[in-house]
Amino acid sequence: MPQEKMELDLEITNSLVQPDGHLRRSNSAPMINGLSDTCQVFQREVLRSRRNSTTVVNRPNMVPSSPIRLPSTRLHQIKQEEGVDVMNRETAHEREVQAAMQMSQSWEESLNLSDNDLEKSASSSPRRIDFVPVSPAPSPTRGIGKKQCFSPSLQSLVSSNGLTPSPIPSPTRRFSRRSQSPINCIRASMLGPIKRKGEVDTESQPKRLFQGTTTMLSTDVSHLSDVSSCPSPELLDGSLSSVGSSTGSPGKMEGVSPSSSNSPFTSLQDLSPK
Amino acid sequence: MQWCFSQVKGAIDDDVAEADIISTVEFNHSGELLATGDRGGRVVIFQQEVDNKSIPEYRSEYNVYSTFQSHEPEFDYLKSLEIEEKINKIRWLPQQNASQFLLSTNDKTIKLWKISERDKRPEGYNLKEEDGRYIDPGTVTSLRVPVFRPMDLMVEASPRRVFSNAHTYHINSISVNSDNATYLSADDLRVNLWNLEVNDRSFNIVDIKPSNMEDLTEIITAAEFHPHQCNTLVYSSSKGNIRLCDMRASALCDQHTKLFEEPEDPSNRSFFSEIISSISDVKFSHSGRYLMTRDYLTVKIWDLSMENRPLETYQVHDYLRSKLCSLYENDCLFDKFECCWNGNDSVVMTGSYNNFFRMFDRDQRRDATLEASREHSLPLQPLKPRRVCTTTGGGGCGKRKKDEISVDSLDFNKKILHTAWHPNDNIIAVATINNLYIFQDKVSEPDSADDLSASDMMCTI
Repeated sequence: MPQEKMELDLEITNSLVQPDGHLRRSNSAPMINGLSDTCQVFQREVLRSRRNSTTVVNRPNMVPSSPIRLPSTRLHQIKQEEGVDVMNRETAHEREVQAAMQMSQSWEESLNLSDNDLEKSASSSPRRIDFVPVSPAPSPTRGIGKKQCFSPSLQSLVSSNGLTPSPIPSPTRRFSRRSQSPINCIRASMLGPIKRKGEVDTESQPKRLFQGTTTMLSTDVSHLSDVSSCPSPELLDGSLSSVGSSTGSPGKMEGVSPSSSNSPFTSLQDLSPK
Repeated sequence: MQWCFSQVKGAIDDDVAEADIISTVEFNHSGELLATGDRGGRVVIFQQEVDNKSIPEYRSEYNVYSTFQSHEPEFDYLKSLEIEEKINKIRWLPQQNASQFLLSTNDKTIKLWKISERDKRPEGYNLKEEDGRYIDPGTVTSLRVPVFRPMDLMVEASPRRVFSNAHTYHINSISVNSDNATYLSADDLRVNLWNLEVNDRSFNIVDIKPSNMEDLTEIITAAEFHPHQCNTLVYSSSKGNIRLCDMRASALCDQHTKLFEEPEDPSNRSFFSEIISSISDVKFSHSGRYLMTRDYLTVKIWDLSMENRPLETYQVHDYLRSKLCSLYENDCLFDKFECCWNGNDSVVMTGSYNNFFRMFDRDQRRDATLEASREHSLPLQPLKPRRVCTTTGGGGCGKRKKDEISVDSLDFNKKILHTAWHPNDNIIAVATINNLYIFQDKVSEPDSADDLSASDMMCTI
């Protein structure tokens, strides 16, 4: 029995992590993970992250000409979503998340090479990870009244008071906030303690900047300090916005203990979705 | 028309960041501004270079005018789902004062943005230095009145309205009404009507959700208001039909006024028939008399007075009909291509694979395949038309001409989903995955021969 459960949990964890290490962004259909065989089929269907609203499902084993096949379209995704009532879906989701947490804890315990007993006991104690994200609700009015100003002559963003801006956070850097999205923080916490976002420079790709008629030369802005990596406060009003708080203080993530560098999931942080 | 390359915007490198993938392109009503949205939730607006507008060869020079972050990733805590920040659609409002307004939407939230210019700023404060530092009041000996001085043009983008929490499913379309007061937003199962001034209420005008979800057979894929009749809207479905609704008929337009549907050709029926019949885009003509729909393989022009079959059907890439199985495997069968009209509704354009895009001249019954790529683009040189040859039983294309490419060599990762046509001029914007190409038609010299030679016939549309 424990063996069976282990296998199932492995599969669940795998589904959260794509083969290339990126944390999976869910599509709109939540993972329906029961412990029955029939649910396994649905799980495979929703593995593919959503690209557009006609959802896309990877079905490598299926022969398209088979008459019994379920068409993998947005239509069926919606039907699926609605078919499972909310209570079951939430329960299944919680179960999946708990399983993932337990998986990560058990991995850590087995792979922890440290001789430090204190550290061991700390890591093995049940970690209470608060799943309530840092802001109470997605604020629909976030950003109201906050101007984003662009200077066509300078071809860069400027501060809204019109004065000569110094220093201007590079517009490319401003937009490279994906690694600090709270979604990634939340997901990261599900898999156990890992390095904080702020410590890892995940953005090293050239960013997009349109300049006149010529095409862009890639601007390597990873050297800018992390101060500029925070979105300008202009973007956020006083309301608790999940995006703003995530960049400001990783410490707000309650329950996430300081990084254990031996965690096998540390590397995932580096490959967070762009 | 001969099309010439004008500009390309975007990064050169092949390694495309997901956030940079362009997800929508739209000219404003005058054509002076061109907006793009991307998967990172950003909007970039290009402006036609004012000085060059009078020089025909350079009239399609567009430069970055403004860029801002429209949407950010969000999290639906009730359903434990991420909400992508990808901009699905941008629609401009007709200009009514010095500022420009546009609506941008992601899957769940629509925002009204005001884009305004500022070219003066107050200078000469008594208590503040020019860089913002405060002056000690004790050191001030005389007072002066701040004056406005010219400054470098600054373009401000500010969100004026946020329309949220009205859609359970993913928003696929927005459309501004001709009454300049309302607009619609459509998701997979519902169409809502909003007033631009009111963001906490919307009216549901179409709801195709059945009481029993098992009965659900089709979803809404696109919706648009009629360009002149403020009571008329259309929405297309995943089954390949279009419904026209009249809002005067009833408050809830679940009963359509007209249903545009072509009977299925039984000889073409295959396992993928329904998937490829799903309409990915619907656009009214500027005149309001015609409707254009795009499904996977064709573009169809419908006359609003004739519901039982389209007026014209254009094959975009019929050579893919035998490849549907592999296109399903690599998910390309679910690509949603858009289409657009030119200013006088004589030519329509849509995208294809391998960075090809297609134009169909309705009047002259000609079509052309052009490519958006850096290698084949020399400024002001006409684009050479491309051709795709299908492999026949006799061992391939045989002697392939220089501009031909075989179906098997097509790059299905290079797809053109979004295109836009200037409302008044022959300037087009074509979006590849992360680059934006701008083309203009070749300006003919006044003394060139007007009659078409044989070679011209090949190159012109």
